[in-house]
Amino acid sequence: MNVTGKISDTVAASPLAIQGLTVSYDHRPVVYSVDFVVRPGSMTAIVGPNGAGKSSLLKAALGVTRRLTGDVRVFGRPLEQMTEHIAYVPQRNSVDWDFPATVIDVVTMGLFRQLRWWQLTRRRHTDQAMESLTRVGMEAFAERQIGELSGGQQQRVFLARALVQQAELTILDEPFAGVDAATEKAIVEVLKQLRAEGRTLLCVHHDLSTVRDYFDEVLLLNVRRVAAGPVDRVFSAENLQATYGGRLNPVQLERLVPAALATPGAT
Amino acid sequence: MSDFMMFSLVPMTVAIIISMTCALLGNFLVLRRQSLISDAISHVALPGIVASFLLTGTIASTAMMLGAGVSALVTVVMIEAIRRLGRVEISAAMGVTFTSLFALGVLLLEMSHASGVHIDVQHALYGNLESLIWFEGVGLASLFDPVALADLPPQLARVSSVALVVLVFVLVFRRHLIVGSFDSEFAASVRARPALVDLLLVSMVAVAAIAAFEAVGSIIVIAMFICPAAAARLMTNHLGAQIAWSQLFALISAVLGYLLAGHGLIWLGLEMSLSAAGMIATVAGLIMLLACLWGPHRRGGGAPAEA
Amino acid sequence: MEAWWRALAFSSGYNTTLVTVGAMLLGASAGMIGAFVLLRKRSLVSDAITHATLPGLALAFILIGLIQGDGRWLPGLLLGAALSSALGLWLVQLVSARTRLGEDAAIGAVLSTFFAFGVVLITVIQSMNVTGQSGLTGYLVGSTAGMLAAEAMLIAVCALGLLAAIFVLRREFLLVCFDADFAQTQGVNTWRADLLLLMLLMAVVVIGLKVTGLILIVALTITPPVSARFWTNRPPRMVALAAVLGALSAYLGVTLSSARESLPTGSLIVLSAFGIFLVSFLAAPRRGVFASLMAHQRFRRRVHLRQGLLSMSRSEPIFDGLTLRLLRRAGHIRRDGVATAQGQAAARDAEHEERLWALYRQLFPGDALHHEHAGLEPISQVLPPDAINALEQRLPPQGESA
Repeated sequence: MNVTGKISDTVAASPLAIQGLTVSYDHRPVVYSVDFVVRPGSMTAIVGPNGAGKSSLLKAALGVTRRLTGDVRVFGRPLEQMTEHIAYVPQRNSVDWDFPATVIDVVTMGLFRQLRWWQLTRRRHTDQAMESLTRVGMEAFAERQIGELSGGQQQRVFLARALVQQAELTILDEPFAGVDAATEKAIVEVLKQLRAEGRTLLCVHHDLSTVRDYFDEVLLLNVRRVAAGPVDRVFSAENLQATYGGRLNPVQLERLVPAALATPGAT
Repeated sequence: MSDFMMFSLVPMTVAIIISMTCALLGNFLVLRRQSLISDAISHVALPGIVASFLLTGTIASTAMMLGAGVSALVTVVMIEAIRRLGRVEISAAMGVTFTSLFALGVLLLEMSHASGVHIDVQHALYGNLESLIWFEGVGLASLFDPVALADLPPQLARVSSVALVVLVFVLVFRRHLIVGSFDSEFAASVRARPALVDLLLVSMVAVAAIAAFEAVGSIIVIAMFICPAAAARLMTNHLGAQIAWSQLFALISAVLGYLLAGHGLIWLGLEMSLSAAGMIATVAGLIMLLACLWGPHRRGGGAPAEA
Repeated sequence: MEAWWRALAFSSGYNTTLVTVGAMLLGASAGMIGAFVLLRKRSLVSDAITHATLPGLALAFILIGLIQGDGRWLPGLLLGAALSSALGLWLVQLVSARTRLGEDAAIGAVLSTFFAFGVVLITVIQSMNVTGQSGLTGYLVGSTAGMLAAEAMLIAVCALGLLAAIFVLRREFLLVCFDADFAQTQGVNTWRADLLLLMLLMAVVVIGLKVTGLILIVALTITPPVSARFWTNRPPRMVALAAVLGALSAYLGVTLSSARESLPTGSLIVLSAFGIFLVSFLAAPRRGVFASLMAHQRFRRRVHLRQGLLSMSRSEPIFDGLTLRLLRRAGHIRRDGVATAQGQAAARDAEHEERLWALYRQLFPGDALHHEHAGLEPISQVLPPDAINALEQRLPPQGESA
């Protein structure tokens, strides 16, 4: 057996393929040896308990933070060469919302790659930004200060900033946390539109009760990969119990999982 | 007029240029909550100069600036090393670094006293604007006389070139700075190199501080980085306007401060002048105080609101 | 050298001994209070406090000079310093609480503008007809040489008082530093505790002005606590150790400076503190740099090796350079990437252990949480043999997995 080999076709077609990713803090692994291949054209959720390493997984995979080990490929090529194919929507609380910027300013930041330092922000750039804003329903707020926005509105702006990058893969970290119901609905619509266009979505998702409605694939994560694959097959009572360390009570489980998958032994 | 040309024009111009340059950089420091890096860098200018004097035996300006530059570099490296490797919080890392280097500077200074030569600590700390006399500046005509212009104190040219370098930096990296200051994780994901830009910003701060300390001294330069920009931050919610306000406040501080120092007491009937650098920084502080009390945007938008 | 030995043994005369003891007490109280400030993550507020003393010092000097011709009267000067420092501190709190500016901008603005105004006042002093002006620079860099016995006594007594105050308040401070919200629920007024903390810090600074000088007293409140941090994780021990290291720095610095006339005390104290810091930074077990780097490398190698073996057993290609190198070095693969017999066996073992661990986590999810390194340590070192046996029996045959 030869350990050095070629990249498989699945990996070459996938917008994000992670092999053996370990992220450690202080000699303690927060993500350990995770293998995961995102299916192109899918809407995939990453779920797991708090502190399970979901955000750390994303940030390390994207190169935003350092990883201890792991191979990350985008369409078969190393991530460092392919970053323009990915749009990242970080968590809202990592940002200073008192920053002097308007909504349109923030969305235009998504065009960072296209704008060289000698180029001014022209009409067509602002038009692109406005288009994205309209897709998320925020066109009326273009000139507003970002500090004046509600949580849901901020999330929409973040999404618009990602849309303007026109990337094949969009990665979102808890996009529905702390947003109102209308915003959640609007965002899901936009994501489904993106999927219909053939793009891929990957979300860290905090609400187990909506996983089956929104997503077609799921990665269950608790420091390690517990299970991954189509929601219908993988989002089972047994896997959920394993992911959440047995802390989910039976009533919760019943609501989350249809009867067919509730019996242990079905994987 | 001739008096003004000879004694006041150059110092005031130098003060204006350096204040505006520091204020420009200060906008980003205040936004990123990194104001105190200017504190650390200003304190280490002293050991840098003393070390360069001990090594080269001369107090020529280039040697001093090089020495200050090297010590700024050493400082930044030390702070990062202590922070990363030692897992020490940033302000504590800064505190350990610059106090130790400053102590080293004072020690070396005392030892160099023993060898009989004198470096003026006062000037390193408080600056020396009043000494920038333009001997050939006898009237308005001197502004157009190449011979007279050649006699301008070299500090003016130095400070102007630094101002130009800083301006170019901010222009070229404006988007990197903005994106990195607002959302550094997003910036990393679009390869806006937030870590590199951070390093460059700190380097620019060091360059400006070194150029400034020769004129206004190292401790007071901190005021020029922070006060005009902080005051500007309280005046507006637009970054462009904030930068403009900071430049205006810097200009006012420089002019008013210089005039009050030179003439303020004379107006009151007393025959003495005060430290120009000290006065400039005090005025900047007062402007900031006024902005804190009455600035239209002194309370900001704050943390993310819940839906 | 001789002089230094004498000073170290406290036998250089009454004055020197008094100064040494006073400085040590000061170092201890600075270290102690600084430890709490470090835990609250506000170390540089001491920089604002120290620089804000200058205008008060200068004003007091002017007033005293106008009254008695010579501006030097320690209690008066220290009072002036304390008042302007308190004002500065109040402004720092005000600016960071009432405006959108961060504490960093507030500290920087106060420290520089107060200092600048102090410089302005010094130029006023320079044109006044008051004696004792050169003594003022002593407050910038410190000078124990020429300190009167009475002054040393005052400093020692005040430092002792501070230590007592800190000792009395230590539980409150520790609670607030550890978890401010929890402290609030326990009936501790966090705002009041913070205020007390800063006032004690200010007292230390004002007393220390004469010994180490304005610019360097900051070092005594920051460096010994940071050093202490490398040796222990427990706040009470850290605080005590910071006091000891602070006293040690002062001891070394003062004795060194009394050995040679011209050496400035403040600098020597600070550099001693830095020396202690350097030793702690590099050599402390676990948190020191050497220990930390070695542990990190060990951990990294284990993870890479384990992942390499697992990839081998699953016939997955390996692309990572370090993993390949480690596998080669361990003899698990040949130079051309082909697995050796030893390597194949090791891979099978690794896979087997991985499955045991997975089964364990499945059956006992609560317990598994405790073993964070599960998978990196051999299962035989973590679980008792009978538990391992039980797992072995329950293991499904190869081919079925989640």
